[in-house]
Amino acid sequence: MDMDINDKDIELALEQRADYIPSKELKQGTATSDFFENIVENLLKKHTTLIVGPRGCGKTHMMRYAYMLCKEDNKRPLSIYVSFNRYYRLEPMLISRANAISLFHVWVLSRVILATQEALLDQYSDFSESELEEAINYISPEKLHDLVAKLERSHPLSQEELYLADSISIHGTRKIIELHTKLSERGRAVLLLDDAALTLTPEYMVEFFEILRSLKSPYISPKASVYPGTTEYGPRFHPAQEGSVENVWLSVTSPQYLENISSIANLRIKGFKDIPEEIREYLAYAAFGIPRAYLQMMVEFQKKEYSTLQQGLNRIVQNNIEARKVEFLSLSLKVPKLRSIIEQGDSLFSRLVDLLKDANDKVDAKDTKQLLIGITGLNNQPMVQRVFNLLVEAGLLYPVPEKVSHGEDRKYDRYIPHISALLSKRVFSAKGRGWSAKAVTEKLNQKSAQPLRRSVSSLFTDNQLSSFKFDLPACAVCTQERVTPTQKFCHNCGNELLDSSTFETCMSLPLHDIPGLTKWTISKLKQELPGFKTIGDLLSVQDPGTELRKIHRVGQARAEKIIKLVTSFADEFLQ
Amino acid sequence: MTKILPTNATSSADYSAIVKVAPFGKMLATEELFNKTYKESNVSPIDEFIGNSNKLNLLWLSLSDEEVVPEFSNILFLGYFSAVESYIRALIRSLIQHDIYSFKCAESQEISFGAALHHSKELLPEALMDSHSFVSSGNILRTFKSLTDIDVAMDESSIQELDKICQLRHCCVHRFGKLGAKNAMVLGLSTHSTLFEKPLVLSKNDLILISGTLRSVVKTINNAAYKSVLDRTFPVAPTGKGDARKFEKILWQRDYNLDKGLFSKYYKIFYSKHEKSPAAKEMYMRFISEKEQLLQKIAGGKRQGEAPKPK
Repeated sequence: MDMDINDKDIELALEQRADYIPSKELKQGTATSDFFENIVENLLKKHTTLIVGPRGCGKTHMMRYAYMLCKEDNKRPLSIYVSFNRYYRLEPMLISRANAISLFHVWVLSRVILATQEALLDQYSDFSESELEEAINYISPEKLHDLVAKLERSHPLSQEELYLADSISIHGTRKIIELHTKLSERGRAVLLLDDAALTLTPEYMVEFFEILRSLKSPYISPKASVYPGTTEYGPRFHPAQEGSVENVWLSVTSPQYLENISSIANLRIKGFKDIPEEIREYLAYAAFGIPRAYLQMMVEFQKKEYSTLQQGLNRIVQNNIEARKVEFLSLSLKVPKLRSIIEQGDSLFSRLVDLLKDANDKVDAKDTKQLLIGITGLNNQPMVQRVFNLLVEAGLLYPVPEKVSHGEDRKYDRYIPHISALLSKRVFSAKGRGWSAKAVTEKLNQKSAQPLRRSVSSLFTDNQLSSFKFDLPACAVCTQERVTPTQKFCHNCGNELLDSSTFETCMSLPLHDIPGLTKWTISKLKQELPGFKTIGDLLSVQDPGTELRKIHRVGQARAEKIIKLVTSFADEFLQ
Repeated sequence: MTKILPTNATSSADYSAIVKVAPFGKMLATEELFNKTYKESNVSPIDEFIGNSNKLNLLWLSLSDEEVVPEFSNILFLGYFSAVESYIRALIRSLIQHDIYSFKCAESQEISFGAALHHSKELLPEALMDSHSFVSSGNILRTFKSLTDIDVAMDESSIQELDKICQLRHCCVHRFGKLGAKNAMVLGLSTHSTLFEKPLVLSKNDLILISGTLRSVVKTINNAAYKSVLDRTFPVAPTGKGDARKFEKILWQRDYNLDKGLFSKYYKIFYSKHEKSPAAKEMYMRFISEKEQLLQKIAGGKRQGEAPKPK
């Protein structure tokens, strides 16, 4: 059975992502709630908005939904949707081009211009060629597409392309958006800039928010989706001052939590209502506010591949938290200088879970649960704060918004650790009694106790605190260790200290280890395309589809699915 | 007894002797100032540039901010710029020696009789550059065009940064670092009009920035020239119009074993051993596969008059 072709797994791996759902299905499969509608309304308002949440919490979904709403209603603004999830393709330029930042600038604006024209063409009316040419300021969309494609492949530009790149400016882009808005007979435009976290390339991120700030006008409202925990928006962009910051991440402590997340699954999962309520609730908590995780766990549950219910749920929840942790740990591969910090983060997370286990074992079993941990002293320890922020960014810790003050010197930052981790550690299963999903969800539905309070100094010894550091690579030429993190040249041999490319690292990952590839596909890849060992081997050939079709029983459709899976893994890995 | 002490009075009749002048003790023998035993190494121009810049780096990287005084940093800055000029000369010389197209472009150009008589064959192309200077991006790009017939496609920001540094260089060479009116005009009067005759003060961080920028500019030129030189050996679009329309010859057999020797010549002009450039074979594969894709795209596989790919 294991060696079946079984394309379903590949499809399942893809279909929970909003960027792969066709527009019509997206609209019909959207569960609206006050929480959801409030955020969508914010996306359509005149001010700048940042929507913040970890992977899978619904940012893309909300942006695409907002886009559809505008498309169908002439009274709403012209909505322009652009995803920047391919930003990492420009990452190698950071070590190979002196003008990498300018090229990134051109790439962002070019994608905005192309999306602006697409948004207009997507309207329910026709426009003449001359109207379209004038609106795009006589730039050739084909040439702009070629330029974008070349930049995404890190290819050198010809003189003609350099001229085109030089002609793309903030001012010109703003004018193009305004002309398109006028042509669509709308009063203003909203720019939905998706996947703008750009966390792996801080240099690009600063430039991106500078562009976003500059594109803003009385007629253009930029909206961007980012990850939580990020604070490096650059010197001139201050999220709270520029507009509103909307938390898209559903809080498990919200009174509407179960209702909101269930309504999403009800529309997307066949037979959702047939699953017993306590199981739905148990997995809803385990999803920790991430609809994509909830859908995946539900699908997994419906396969009924377990001997006992308890064993089945344990495995599903365990897999969910393991996947989050693997993602967090993979950061040390993507940003090698964070290696020690990530290791510290991993053990910190386990410690926080253990602390909550002890606390819940002690609290009165009947009345309250303990979910929150309040930390003092983070402000004075930037490296420790970084560890907490990285755990938040990876979706392992939920930051409870406001700061709680208990007097002058006692500021608390409050966090909730991922519920799947707590469930795996049996934090809510009372000692000595038999396990039941219902008992656990009843416990989780109880009131929250006052946060457990810890200070940074009680979590880490002085020795541990002084060992927090960036792992900077030694000089590649003479192997001498660096003296300072900002050093540009090696003090021993005088060579320039250049980092390695994360993109190259990702491309060197083994192709056969990509999650979602079926055993059949892996064995066929190994047998019939032995030259394709890494992701880069497959994605760098001119036409990967032709290569894959050389495998017996792989046609166009299956080849496309495999390529989509590999590409989406690379996109996801480098987000 | 009273001690006799000299006074400040002078009694010389020389009315020009407004300052004291020490006599020449020994005349400069310039021929002894150069290292006769030095032999041109066969490192690539870019590696020579990196080596020179690294040597300069080591003079001051370990000094404190206070120890890098402005006079010292100005001299260092000129050293870095000299390394850039030396790189351009070495690159053009190598191209004329090894690239047939550059050689053809240069062979009709004139050099001085003295240079022709005394230069070795390898260094003869140096004489072609006697009348060229490399003090602005325009100068550099024109020199490439006139001596090797290549258009080095440089981006606007590299050109701008290089030109800014060229103006600073001018101040250091001719005015002991003070900003001249012409330089201020090029750098932008709106931001420099109040700085006329003010001295350049480069801190340690400024020097790090300038040497880093020059390094990036030189590497940009290196990669752009490499691309232009290779592009010329593999024309994908026809030249001429109407009946005169024809495809230029492609220098490559498109088989690494057959092309290895020729490609290695080009590779060695531009590669950096210092910074571990990708291997020649990999660079060859990247180049050929990109060109073949272009050929397919342009002609849809129907390119007439093209030699079939050897098996």
